[in-house]
Amino acid sequence: MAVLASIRLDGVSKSYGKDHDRAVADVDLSIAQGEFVVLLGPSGCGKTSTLRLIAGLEKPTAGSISFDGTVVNELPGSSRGVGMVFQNYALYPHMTVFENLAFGLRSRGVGKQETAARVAEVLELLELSELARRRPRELSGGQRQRVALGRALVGRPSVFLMDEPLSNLDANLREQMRIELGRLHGRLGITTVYVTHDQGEAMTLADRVVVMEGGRIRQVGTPKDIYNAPSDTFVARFIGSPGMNVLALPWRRDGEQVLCGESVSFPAEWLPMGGEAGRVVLGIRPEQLSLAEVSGNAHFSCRVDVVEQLGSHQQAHLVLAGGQDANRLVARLSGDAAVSAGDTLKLSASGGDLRFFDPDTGLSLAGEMWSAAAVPAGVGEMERG
Amino acid sequence: MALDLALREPRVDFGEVSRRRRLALPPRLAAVQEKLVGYGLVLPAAAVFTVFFYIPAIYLLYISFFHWSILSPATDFVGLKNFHTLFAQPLFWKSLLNSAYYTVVMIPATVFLALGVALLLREGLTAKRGGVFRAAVFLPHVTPVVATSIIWVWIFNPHFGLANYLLNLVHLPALGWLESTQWALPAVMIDSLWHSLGLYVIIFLAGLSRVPRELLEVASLDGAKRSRIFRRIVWPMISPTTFFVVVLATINTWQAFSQIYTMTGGAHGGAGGPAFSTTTDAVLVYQTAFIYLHFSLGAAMSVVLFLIILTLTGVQKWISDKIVFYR
Repeated sequence: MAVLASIRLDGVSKSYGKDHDRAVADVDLSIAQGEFVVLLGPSGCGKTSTLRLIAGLEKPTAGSISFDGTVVNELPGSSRGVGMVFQNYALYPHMTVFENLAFGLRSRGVGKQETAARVAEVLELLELSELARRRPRELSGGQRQRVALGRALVGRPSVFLMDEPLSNLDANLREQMRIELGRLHGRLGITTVYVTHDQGEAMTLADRVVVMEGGRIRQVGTPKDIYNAPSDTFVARFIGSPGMNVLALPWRRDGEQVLCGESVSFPAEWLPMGGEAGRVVLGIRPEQLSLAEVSGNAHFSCRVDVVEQLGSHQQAHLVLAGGQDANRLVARLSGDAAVSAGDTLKLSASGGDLRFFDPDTGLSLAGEMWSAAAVPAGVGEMERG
Repeated sequence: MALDLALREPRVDFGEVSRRRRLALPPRLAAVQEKLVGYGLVLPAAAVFTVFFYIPAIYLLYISFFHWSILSPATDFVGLKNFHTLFAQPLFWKSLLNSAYYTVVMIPATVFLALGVALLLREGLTAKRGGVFRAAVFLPHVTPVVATSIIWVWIFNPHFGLANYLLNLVHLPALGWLESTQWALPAVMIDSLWHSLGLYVIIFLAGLSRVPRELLEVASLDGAKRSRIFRRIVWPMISPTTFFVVVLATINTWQAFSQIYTMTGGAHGGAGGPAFSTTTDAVLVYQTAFIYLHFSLGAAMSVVLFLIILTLTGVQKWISDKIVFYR
């Protein structure tokens, strides 16, 4: 087994050409030995560029990348001890499965016998032994994916890099491979950096998720932290399916209550800012809105626009009551709730579920009461299956 | 009444699709119509090809079995006599040898030079400047062979040419070039190579662009050196392109005529010299038919040339099936 490496990125930036915006901008990130870190974000957010920088396929324009405390900026990828899996597998099409796996070992001057033994070991690990003589075109998508994994593994890397490795697979196979990847990491424990735009993969596989946007890191945390305590409105909207409802509303104090227009009210003590009136951005997850009226909770008066029946639950697309509050939100309600388009609903949410964001910067105004400790237990675990 | 209505053909309007279907021809007629359209589209090109290629080729084969002259049409069937006469001529064998020599040198030189230039263009240049260099490399190929060959005649002039001047600069003895039986054909080869290189470079660039970047990146992460990446990844991946270049270059070299004609004094009736050292098969065909007016013999030579190219292409195909990798 290879020695596992820790990775550190200090102020790493990458620009392609003089006139281009930075694909990666001032990224600071520490990855511990054996950790499974997922870089998550929409297309063009800089996650693949960051992975390529770690792999040594690109050189940073600024900042430093260290493996186990040693700066590797000038070190070629082959000397960093990384194994990489590409989105389209990148298998050598003219070589057999065995040759694909053996190529790297032979390139490094590993002897014939040792090469054969190590390839056989990995083929067995990935249940590919019977396919050793086949060429990539004779394999299914899932088998190709496993060969790509095997090729990255056979060199006994200290860091495992994966660039959207499951995106070319169909939904069923993707789920199956996701489980296999998780199992493999559990067994081998190699430091892994995994790029995806699929938050399901991120939430289920990661020890920590790095949410990126516009080349910058927006938030780093455990899947549970990212889900429950988003650092800003981007993360709030991006994580979750559907994402968090983010409502920009005016507010004013009315005794012990805060009223946001005609449609939203909550206890004044929850407000993380002072004053008598102003604007605030509220965040609430669709599944945290409930039809049960509970005194002391936040209340949302809404009109039902569309109801999607999804079997186990139904998804109600709502418009906040009152002409001036044209904010839309989604609520996940139980499958047997009697709700139909045009109905007027009063939904409630508890204080621990409500998030506040700065209306100017979009950053979280998290106080003690909505820290991770106050988050309903089990959400993260449930997502991680 | 209700029963009557129910038993009638249901009048269902399925909209646009249904209307189209009702207007469409029955399947058989539709198939005929489709074929006619296909033939119609192919016809102009087929007509040109038939008039200027197939008919002359078949007629050439025909007259190779007759005694034929420009003044009297082919009436005297002579069987294989033209071929017997041909094989009895030492000059014919000399021309075959020259053609073989020309091909054996030109094919590897073409492949390796064109691939080398293509790799340099691909690796070392930005997209913007790469366009200029690609155009520069391709330019000789689009200039007329006769015009460029005249320039090469000047370059290879043994008394004041650039080639001997450069040899002189590096303290090498001057060569006779086009006046020497030993160096005349190599001089023609240099001209041919320079003229045709651009085409093959462009073909190789197209082949190289089809090698996925990820494969090269994976190989470099695997610790493979550049030479190994080229040998084990790039070379097999572009083998169909290489095969295409080899076939094309083989055909072109066996058919080489204009540059030899121009560089070896064809304008004065002396193409193929000195002392037949540049008389290739194609040159001999021309001289036999159009200088000495032995059209039947020239036709027989062309048939042999055709059979040689056909055989070589067949052999190349057989080899390629074993070593060329098609994705």
